[in-house]
Amino acid sequence: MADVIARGLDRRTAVRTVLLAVAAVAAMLGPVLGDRYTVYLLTQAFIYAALAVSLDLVWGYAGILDLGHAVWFGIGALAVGVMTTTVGRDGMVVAVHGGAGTYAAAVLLGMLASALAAAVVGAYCFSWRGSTRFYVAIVTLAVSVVCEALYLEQRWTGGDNGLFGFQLRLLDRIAWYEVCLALLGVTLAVGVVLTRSDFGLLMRAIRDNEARARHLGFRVDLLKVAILAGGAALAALVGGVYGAAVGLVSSPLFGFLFSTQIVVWVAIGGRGTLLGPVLGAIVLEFASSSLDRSFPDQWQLLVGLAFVAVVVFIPDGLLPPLGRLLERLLLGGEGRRPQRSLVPAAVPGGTEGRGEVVAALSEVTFAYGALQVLRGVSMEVRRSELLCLIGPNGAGKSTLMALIGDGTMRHGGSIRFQLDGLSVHRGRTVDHLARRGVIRKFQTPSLFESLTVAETLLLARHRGQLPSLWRRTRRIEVPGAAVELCRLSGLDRHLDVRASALPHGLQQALELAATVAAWPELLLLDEPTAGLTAQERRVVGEVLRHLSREQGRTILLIEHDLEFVDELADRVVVLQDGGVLADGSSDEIKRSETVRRGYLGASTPP
Amino acid sequence: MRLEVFGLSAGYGASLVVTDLDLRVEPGEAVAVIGRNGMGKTTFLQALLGLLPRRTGRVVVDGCDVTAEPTHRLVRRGIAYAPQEAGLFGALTVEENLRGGLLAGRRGTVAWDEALGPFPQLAARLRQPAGTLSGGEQRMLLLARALAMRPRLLVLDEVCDGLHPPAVARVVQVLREQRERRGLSLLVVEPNLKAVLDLADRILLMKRGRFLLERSPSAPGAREDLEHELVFS
Amino acid sequence: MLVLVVLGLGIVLGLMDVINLAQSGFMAVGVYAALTAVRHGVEFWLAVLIGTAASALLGALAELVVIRRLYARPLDTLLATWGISLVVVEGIIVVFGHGPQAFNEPFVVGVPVLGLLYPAYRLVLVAAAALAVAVLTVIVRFTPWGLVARMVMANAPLSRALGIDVVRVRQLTFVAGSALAGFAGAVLGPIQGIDPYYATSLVAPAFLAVLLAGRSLSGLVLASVVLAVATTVFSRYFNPVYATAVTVGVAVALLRLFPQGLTRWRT
Repeated sequence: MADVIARGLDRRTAVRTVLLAVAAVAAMLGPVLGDRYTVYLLTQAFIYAALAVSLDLVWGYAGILDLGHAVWFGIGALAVGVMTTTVGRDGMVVAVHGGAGTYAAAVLLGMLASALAAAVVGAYCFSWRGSTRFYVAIVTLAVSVVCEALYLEQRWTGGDNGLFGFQLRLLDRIAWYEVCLALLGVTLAVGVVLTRSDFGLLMRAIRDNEARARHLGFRVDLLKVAILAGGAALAALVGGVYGAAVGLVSSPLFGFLFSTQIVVWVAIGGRGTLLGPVLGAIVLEFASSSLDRSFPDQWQLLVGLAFVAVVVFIPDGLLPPLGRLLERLLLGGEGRRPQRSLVPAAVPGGTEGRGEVVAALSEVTFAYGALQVLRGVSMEVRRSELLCLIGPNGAGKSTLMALIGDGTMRHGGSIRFQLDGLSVHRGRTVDHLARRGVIRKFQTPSLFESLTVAETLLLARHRGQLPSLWRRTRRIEVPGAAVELCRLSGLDRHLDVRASALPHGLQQALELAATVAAWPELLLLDEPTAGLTAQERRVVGEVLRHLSREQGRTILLIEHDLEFVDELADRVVVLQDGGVLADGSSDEIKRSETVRRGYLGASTPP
Repeated sequence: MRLEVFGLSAGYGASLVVTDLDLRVEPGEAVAVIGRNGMGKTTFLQALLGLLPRRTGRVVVDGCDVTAEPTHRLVRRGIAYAPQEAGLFGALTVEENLRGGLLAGRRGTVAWDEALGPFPQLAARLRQPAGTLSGGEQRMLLLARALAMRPRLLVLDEVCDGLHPPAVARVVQVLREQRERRGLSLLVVEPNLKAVLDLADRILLMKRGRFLLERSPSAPGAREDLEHELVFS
Repeated sequence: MLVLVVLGLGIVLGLMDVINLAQSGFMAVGVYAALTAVRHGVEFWLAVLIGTAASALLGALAELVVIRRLYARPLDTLLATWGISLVVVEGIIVVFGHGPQAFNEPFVVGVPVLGLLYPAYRLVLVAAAALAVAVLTVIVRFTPWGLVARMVMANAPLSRALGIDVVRVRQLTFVAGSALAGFAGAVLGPIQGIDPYYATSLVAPAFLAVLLAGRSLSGLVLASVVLAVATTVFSRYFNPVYATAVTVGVAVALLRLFPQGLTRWRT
């Protein structure tokens, strides 16, 4: 069996390598094989393909819909143009100067300027609470429209005519072809390394479920700004090469029509695949230029229709289904070798300090608009205990838990922590609290769809620390309890399965495993047994007991299953109508008259 | 209205929250479903009405198989639904919320006065946005709207939730009157056991998505059985 | 200025839960259909009607094929509707070519206003726009149809539970919105330059108006008016190009201050 799989692996990588090598060689031989016009077209196509890669990294992988990507490209080209031309009084170019060094410096400057501009736009878009996916799309679109318009009004940009004639004549046509091909190769290489690295997982996590990434401690806002700026720098590099090769920059290069083009290439080719956008750009540009002589407008119409059709019916783009088909034809659908494995790692843990107060809530109030949800909740959470929060619906349990995990929610009263490195709650963001060990597990599985089990655990283990930008960790070190949970629940047989493909019970298990892998100091669980079978509930119970009794983790959990609570809880707090109805051991609660009345409705005769 | 449900299962994602449920409500009968939170009561109601996809099961209304009907058409057969959450348009006024219900009412709608009659406190607040009402008043509005639709079957999800005892008694009284006057069938989900004992002809206890017990309030020992299961199981 | 107001109205109905960027496309369809009609000797106002109908038809088609499948995918709706407006541009180029077109105002009469001779047609348009805003507000606020539209927009599943055919309502409002856009496009034909990129420069401000509106129809009207006024005011003091830039900047800033939309009230 193992050697069959090994052979399968060899075939897969072998086929991929061969295909890539053939393509690269064919491309390099282009000038020899093709005529002047084709070479010229392909040179342009390579540039556009590299540009498409930069957008795919930002949009396809990180989920940031940048509708103004042309602007970053344009800045790159403009930098080269401005540094190598002199503009006369009437706005026309009068002189071109500068050696190779100037061009190189200009390209670098363009990258810097672009990254900075993108960082400003990104900071504006991502740094506030109400930001949505639309917001960045619209702001970048607006930036693109505005830039295109403003370009025409400036003299230093060449205004209406733009800047022209500043191509670097040091290199001839064929040399430029190879340079652009190399540019495409470099961009692709950067993309591949980045997306296959651990950081690439984080990018996809941000795309799939930003909130969850925050809850695992990642500074999502900062990361998005960085990714946008990085993509802009890459686009500017491409733009700089374009400027040096073609020697033209004008307002349409910044405009929203060109931005749309790039989006179309990526969407049709296949977002989040790198290769898809490359092929999309090359094929579409090549086809449109060739057809320019016969049916230019009909072709564009066709492309537009294809774009709409792809977005509606094949949102992943054309490459993935084609790739799968190809794979099946060439490889016969053989299994994949296991990619990653889990390794138990040593983690701080122990039962000293048991009983100390870890979180103290005092007269906490909270309201959603006019609705008062919490009316003065006072309670303590003690180290290494398992505290259960029960109560009828609408009592405020989930709200209380959400509040503990998010210091930016406005509330009355106070919440204080006594965790290592964390004492203040108010104003602390979700990710800040998560980095200090306050980890929340949601009631409904909130996972990263495209990440496998192992990849999710890898990210969880980082707990907000930046993952490697190039390394691809195969042996993932996670706390022993997480490994054990995977074994007990059967997750360890699905390490390379995507979260979206897991059955519900395993999704819940992964949710829990991820939370454990983050090795929380204070674990907040919202209905961990919802929808689980009896067997699954037992596994969860075992893990939680182990975490609390032997590893010293503090656990606060919301539950409706009173049997479960009875077995596990060190203490129980009953919430009703936003206030604490009772607080004591499981037995005390069961016997309490107030609780029975609370559960059964007012004035029950004895 | 006679409502019959056979083998209803529904859930979220790959899991099932309610499994293989059978239910029958006769014309003029009041059936209550009780059980602790998270046991699937709301899921049951939503799946019944088609607001949640049904994994299996058939729904029959007055002998007509309506399993394939979209929610809005099913509702127009004479069902009024007052949900537990998000039952009102908070930004719209009380008056608009009421009218919204009337829009879909069958067999003409109730006269304005008749709709507001049992709820004088609402009449004073017609122009207020529904979201500014207190919890209790919102429940009243839900009930008023549901009744204004002149339904033959009233489906209520925790309408007494968070109400003080006098308000609960009022609700029970209004429902009793409507039943007597119009032969209204009732299907209620209600955590308040006392209200349910006063109102229902039959009580079903749901646990983990299945019906565990069925009792009639008049049967001896019924209340003790239900209480026990509610708190201790 | 009128353009934004009327376009805003067009967006109003086309909105529902959808970020609809195809409105500029519908405007273009309206004006080109009217243009064709006028070229065939049809009287102006009838041509406008034809333009409106053409847009409505296209809207119905778009809703059926595209929009209806994307209610759960808002970002893809944004892309798809953008795609539709591009398809319209390209389609127009195929049929009519790249060059600008024109047709004349129905009546070229000067009306003295504040000492200046003002073209009567423009005044009629201003009056019509104001009337349209008023009528629409009345419909939205006081009629059952308006109530149903607002309910579906606020909470579709609840509306379904109350017996409203949400699919049908969304379809009708989308078609109404595209018809209105077609009307706006056709009616503005005589005073705007007509080319395949008709109204595409309005895409960005339209976007912003949509976001500024939050989830309320009155918010949309308010947002459109605010942006229209801003553009007019800035055009007076700045170069029109800068004016657009400033307007966009203002809108983006406003959105930051009013994240839920200008009218602020949310369910």
